[in-house]
Amino acid sequence: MWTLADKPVNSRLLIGSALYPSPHIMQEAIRASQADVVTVSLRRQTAFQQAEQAGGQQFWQLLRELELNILPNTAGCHNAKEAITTAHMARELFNTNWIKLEVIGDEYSLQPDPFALLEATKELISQGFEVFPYCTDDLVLCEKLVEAGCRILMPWGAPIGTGKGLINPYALRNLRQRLTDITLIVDAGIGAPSHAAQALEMGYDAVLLNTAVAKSPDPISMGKAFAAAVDAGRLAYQAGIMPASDTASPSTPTLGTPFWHQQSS
Amino acid sequence: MHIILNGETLDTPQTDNLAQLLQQQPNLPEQYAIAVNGAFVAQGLYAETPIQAGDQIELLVPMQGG
Repeated sequence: MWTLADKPVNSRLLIGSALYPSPHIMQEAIRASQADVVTVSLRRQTAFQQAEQAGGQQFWQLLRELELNILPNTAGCHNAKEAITTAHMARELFNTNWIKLEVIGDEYSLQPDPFALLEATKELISQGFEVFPYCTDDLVLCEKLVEAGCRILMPWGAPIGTGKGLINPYALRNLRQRLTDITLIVDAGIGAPSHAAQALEMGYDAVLLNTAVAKSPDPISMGKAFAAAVDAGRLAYQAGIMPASDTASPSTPTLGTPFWHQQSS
Repeated sequence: MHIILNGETLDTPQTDNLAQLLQQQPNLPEQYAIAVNGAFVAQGLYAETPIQAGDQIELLVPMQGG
């Protein structure tokens, strides 16, 4: 059990609700992942969903059945004003002051706009939101977000949907060492359970991912795999990982080595 | 009068406020949140929010997200 924004949670995996083959597989995969927090978005209702309203609402109904903490996002926003408006709509729609704040600055890499992110963060915190900023691994930006009142930061591991894992472990490790009191969650770019374990081994509090589970040929099994990975990573961090060395040292005792070693000595 | 609802132009009878406009809409989703001209409008303020021709209204529903 640990505490995320004052809420007790068990899992160190936060999971997305998009891109699954079907709403039912989404529900089963999220259940298998053991995640306590699931991300959602707000969108216009499409004509297709209006025509089949039950189908359009099915996703939301199935998600509610899981009784998880809902973390709405501001995906698709490109400036602070859009993100702030979306956050307010999310607060009313989902009845939560949690917001995964995304302000995209580059359409190609989906890299967050650090300036607009900081601007929106300040405004939303002043209005009582618990901001989970999706940010880059830039130390100075992260420090500014903390100064603005963030208790949680979510630096990217790699660009959204790439599955490349932690492409800059040096920067992520540096954030962990410098921001010891902040809840740090690697968000985006995680493709394999080993990437999630790596983040937890570094001392990150959790990971947030979506595509890695949803786009697996077997999302339910992959949900289980990620559940095991975050547990393993956290346990390893708590146990303490041996320091790496450039020189080899035998693990088998050298004292009493038989045959040729004795002859040569 | 013409308004723009979720990006589509809509010809609607003259309405005094957002609450009236919503009453005229068929197939309203069970849960939604609204912004008018880029500004969030809380549910409790629908009846006090005037609607004019050309207003841009976003009506958003819960959706899958990452």
